[in-house]
Amino acid sequence: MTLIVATLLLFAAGPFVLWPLIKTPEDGVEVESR
Amino acid sequence: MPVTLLDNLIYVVILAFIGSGALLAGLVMAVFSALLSFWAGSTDNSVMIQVGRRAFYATAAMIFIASALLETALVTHDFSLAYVTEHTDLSTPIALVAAGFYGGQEGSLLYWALILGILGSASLLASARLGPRLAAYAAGIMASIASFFLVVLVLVASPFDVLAITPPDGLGLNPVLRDGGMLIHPPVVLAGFAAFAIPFSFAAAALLAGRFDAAWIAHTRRFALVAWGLQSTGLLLGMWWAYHVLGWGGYWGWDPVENVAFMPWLATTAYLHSSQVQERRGRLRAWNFGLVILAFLLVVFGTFIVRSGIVPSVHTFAVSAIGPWFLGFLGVCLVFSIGLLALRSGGLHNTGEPAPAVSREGAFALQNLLLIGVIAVVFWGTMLPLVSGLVGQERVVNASYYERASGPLFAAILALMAAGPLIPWRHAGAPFWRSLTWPAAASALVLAILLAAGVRGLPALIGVPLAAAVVSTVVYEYARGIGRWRRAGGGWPRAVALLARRRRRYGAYLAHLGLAVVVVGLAASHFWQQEKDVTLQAGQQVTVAGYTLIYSGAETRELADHSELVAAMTLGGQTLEPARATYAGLGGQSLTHVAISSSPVADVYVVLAGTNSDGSASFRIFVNPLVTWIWAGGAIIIVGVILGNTGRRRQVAEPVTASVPSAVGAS
Amino acid sequence: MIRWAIVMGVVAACVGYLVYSASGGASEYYVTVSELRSHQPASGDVRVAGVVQDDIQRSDGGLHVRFTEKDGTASVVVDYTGTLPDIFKPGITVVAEGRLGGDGVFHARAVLAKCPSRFSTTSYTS
Repeated sequence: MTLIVATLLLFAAGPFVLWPLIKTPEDGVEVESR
Repeated sequence: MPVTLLDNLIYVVILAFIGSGALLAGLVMAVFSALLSFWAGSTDNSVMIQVGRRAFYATAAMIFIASALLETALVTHDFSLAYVTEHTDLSTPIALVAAGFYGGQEGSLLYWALILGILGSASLLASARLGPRLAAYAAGIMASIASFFLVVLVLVASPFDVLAITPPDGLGLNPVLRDGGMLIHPPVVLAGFAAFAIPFSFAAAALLAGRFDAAWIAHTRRFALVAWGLQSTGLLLGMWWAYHVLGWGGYWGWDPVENVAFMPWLATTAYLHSSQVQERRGRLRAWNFGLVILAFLLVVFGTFIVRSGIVPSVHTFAVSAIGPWFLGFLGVCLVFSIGLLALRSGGLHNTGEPAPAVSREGAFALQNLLLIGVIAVVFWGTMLPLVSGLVGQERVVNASYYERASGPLFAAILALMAAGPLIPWRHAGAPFWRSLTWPAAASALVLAILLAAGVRGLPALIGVPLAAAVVSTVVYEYARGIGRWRRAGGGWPRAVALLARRRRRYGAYLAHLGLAVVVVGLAASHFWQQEKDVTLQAGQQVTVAGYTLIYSGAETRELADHSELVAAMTLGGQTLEPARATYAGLGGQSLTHVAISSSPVADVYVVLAGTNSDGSASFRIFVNPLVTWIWAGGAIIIVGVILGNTGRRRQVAEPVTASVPSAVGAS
Repeated sequence: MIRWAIVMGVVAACVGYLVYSASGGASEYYVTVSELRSHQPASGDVRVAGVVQDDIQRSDGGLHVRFTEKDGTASVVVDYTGTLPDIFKPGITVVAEGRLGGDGVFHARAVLAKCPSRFSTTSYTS
């Protein structure tokens, strides 16, 4: 059960964490974000 | 009924699983953040650096979720969680139930991780401008520390362990712990420790990245100041709690648990001062790195000592399973730190002209040495039982060792506090020596007063005049600052406004003033304490140090879970009711309720020892001078810290430093 | 640099001297009850730890107490004047600081008890 919850939470956090990879780079210039 | 029981069971079991799931997710995320941040930093991959940083934020979020769930479980009395059962019961006031979050082993670890997550995230938010590599390594180190705590929380000491059968009620808090002090003292102390992980992480990151400039100091200055403020408050709260609750008339026993909270504070104090030299003049770099690392290692060391039970202490700590884990963590931190310092020692030598010995820089350097000396004294006293026990018959030191060994060092530090703010940064000329006449005069005046009042103890005759010198320097500096601005034209409003502009400096002076007040309070209540044991019949009176107490009688009051034997005494127009509470349900354990009458001059502190068959009652009475000065001084320190922390950062005016040319390169 | 080394050396020497001189007169042996009779030094206080037994006698309205402290198989009677820690009762561990008198009674100057644990691992077994 614990593992299931952990996996779900990790999936939920995934998009936020991986956002810099997901968003389209603008003309090859990488935007420095928070 | 069975249906709702099942519903409750499902609800509670779900809560426990979500909580432990959040901890596990947090652990995975923290390890991921650490590995990615270190790798991305070393390969200068700025996208991955951002991902690693976000992973740290996600870790903090997981910890927060787990914390919220634990607090919910406590406040709703979910006794299916072992932690809730062990630390609360239905009769415990709700505030103390909520405080159970940080009151037990597992919860206090989660609290530590929570503070690290929150403050760490805050420190990373604006960190990109430090240079991506430095920020990345800082994230990596903080994520590593978080990983350690999460590993312990997941594998060894989980707050979400579920009991096989849910009991109807919990075990509750020991009566001695049912006090307001327990609400605020532990979280402040723990937060003070956890907060210092931030300056440490950035310092270590700077070393890793080959960055020897003061950028990391400027960035983490607020966090270091917050940590110091919390540690100072935590120490004072602990003293206040011991004084009001434990009933032995004092507030500090040089117990190992107290000592290991004191040592990081000393190192943090040294660091706060010494780091200014690096910000201003780019010097004392090795000191600053060393002090930050020392302070953090002392924090980890203290946590280990407190939770492992290896040094005899009046605080019972079962030799718990997590002791070895913290010893291992301490070892890792030690090896990592020493290795870093050795690796980067080339870049740590001072550049620029050394200042003459009598200068602000010299004073700060001397202060470093003296404070480290005190740490050594306290460390030796704390570790002697362990060391001596290993080689022969176990020995312990008593309180007078600490006083005799550290007293002269503290006196030197006080003298430095009085002279330091007056010394110019570079050459100390005639104006400086002239300005010393003010603190010297204040000391002489106070010394004369003490001698005239019949004081003969050497420590008091040295300590109190020196504290007066510190006060006079602060007053002098304020007066000089106000006078300067007034002469610049504009009168009082402008003067105040211009003082406010240099809040950082004047806030620090205020903290010095507060500390001097604390020192006077400590000296007076320690050296001039008077004590008397007396047995009185109803109607009789006793006089201690000029205070007359009349005993009028005792009665027994029955309350819900305990009975109280209350003695009524009058002091002037005031009624004092020292009492003894007996908890039948806990095997007849008794609890002292001390009666204290406080005034700025002295505390009259009355402990009821018991009653006799002939109707008389026995008391131990203390008269403690100037105890309120200790707490008042503490409040002044807090105001000074807050004031100083809202000040704007000084321009980092230091020579451009060359980074260590390494294969990895600097950011 | 040399100047620095000298200053550090002087301060270190002072600290070392302070530690040495202060611990000379201010350290005590920490013994078990069984070791008490054999290990008491000629002068100075000793700290002895043991478990309080059932035979507590109080007098003077609680200001004076006599109790037996036991550890393993050895026990000693402790005589103490003063206020006791709140948690004092049979079964708890105390540390008495004082000297063993010629009368075989340990005259304690201080009695310390272990505070109720905040970090104990007492687990609830239902």
